[in-house]
Amino acid sequence: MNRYTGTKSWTIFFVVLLFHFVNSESTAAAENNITAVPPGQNLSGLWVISNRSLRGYRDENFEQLEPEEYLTERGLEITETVRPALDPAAMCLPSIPRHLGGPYPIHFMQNQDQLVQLFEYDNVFRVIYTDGRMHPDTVEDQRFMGHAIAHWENDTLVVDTQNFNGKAWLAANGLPVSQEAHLTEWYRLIENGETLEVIVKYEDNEYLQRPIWRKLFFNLKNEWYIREYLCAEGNRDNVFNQQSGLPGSLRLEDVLPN
Amino acid sequence: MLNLRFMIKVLALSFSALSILISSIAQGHHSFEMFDRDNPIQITGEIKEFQWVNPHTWIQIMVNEPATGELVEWSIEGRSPNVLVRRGWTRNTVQPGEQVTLTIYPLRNGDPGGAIITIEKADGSIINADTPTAVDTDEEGPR
Repeated sequence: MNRYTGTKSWTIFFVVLLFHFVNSESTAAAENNITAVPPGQNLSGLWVISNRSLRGYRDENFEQLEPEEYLTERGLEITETVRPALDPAAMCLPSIPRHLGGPYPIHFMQNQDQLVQLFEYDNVFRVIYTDGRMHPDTVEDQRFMGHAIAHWENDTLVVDTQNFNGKAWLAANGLPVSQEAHLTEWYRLIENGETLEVIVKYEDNEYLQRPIWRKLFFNLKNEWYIREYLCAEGNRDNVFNQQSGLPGSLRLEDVLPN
Repeated sequence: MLNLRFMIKVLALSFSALSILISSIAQGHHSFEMFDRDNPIQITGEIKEFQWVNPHTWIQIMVNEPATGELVEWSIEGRSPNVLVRRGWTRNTVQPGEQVTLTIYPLRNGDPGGAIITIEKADGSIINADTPTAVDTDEEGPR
């Protein structure tokens, strides 16, 4: 072994040792990233919405509102002429906060940097970033589910969502989720971690005179698992199906009764 | 008239039971406003096909029209496999060739279709097809 060969061997040895050390550190960091979520802030699990939920269109005290109390004139006009067969949901397109309303489970997966919601409904997902990033440009980056960022305030995760694309409906009443829409959610574990309380505040200056509020409750059902739900498989109640002459229950001319 | 064509019986459901059914079926993939939920009916016939698909299951059933003797195919919309499987259903719970009586909310427009409530099988057993969705918490105690 000459001097050059010996030096090279030692160099390779230290490089391998260093790689092993760094790799071990990375693995430990990744594990810490998952296990470091404090128990009171760990929302992981399979959540199923409860009948206790206060749904619909409510004020900040969760009292029900009449359409004239929260809709703009344009909003009222839309809901009075809505055609259910044109509902984006009837074409398997998702939206928030509609997908929070059940009836299908939502699997929450969480680490320090993000909370991921896997919705059984339409098999779509939502990433809520908790790594300190900001929203992207609202013109350049628009989405059905919006862009969500969040931070913790003690035991409550405060989620801020915007960057909607204006193509989704808030509900079957035909009210669009406009590009101006803004959603705030407060997630908090209650009842020994067996229940998740989610307060929802939804604002849309284009169609709403005032914010609407909801208080949703979810039950932990970790004995269930998330199932496949491919909406396009047998979707017969939309305008495309009707144009093909295939049977379904909805007709394009159907309008919701006032 | 729908009830003359198919000798359909109007059910005497109590207001409270009807309210529960309405509230549970109102959830889901699309509006159910096209169904007449105030006037449930019954139809009897042979199952042609049970489609175990999302977002809704479908029962295709051949119903004899007494006035003309004509067989008419009805399309009956049901809950998704994801809801039904959690209530003990499988894709074979309803089989082609079975003689059944379905209780349904008929389509308002008079077309041969509706949303399912119950299935009465040939042996007299009745399956609740409008089972509570996952939002119900009755199996979990007093919540």
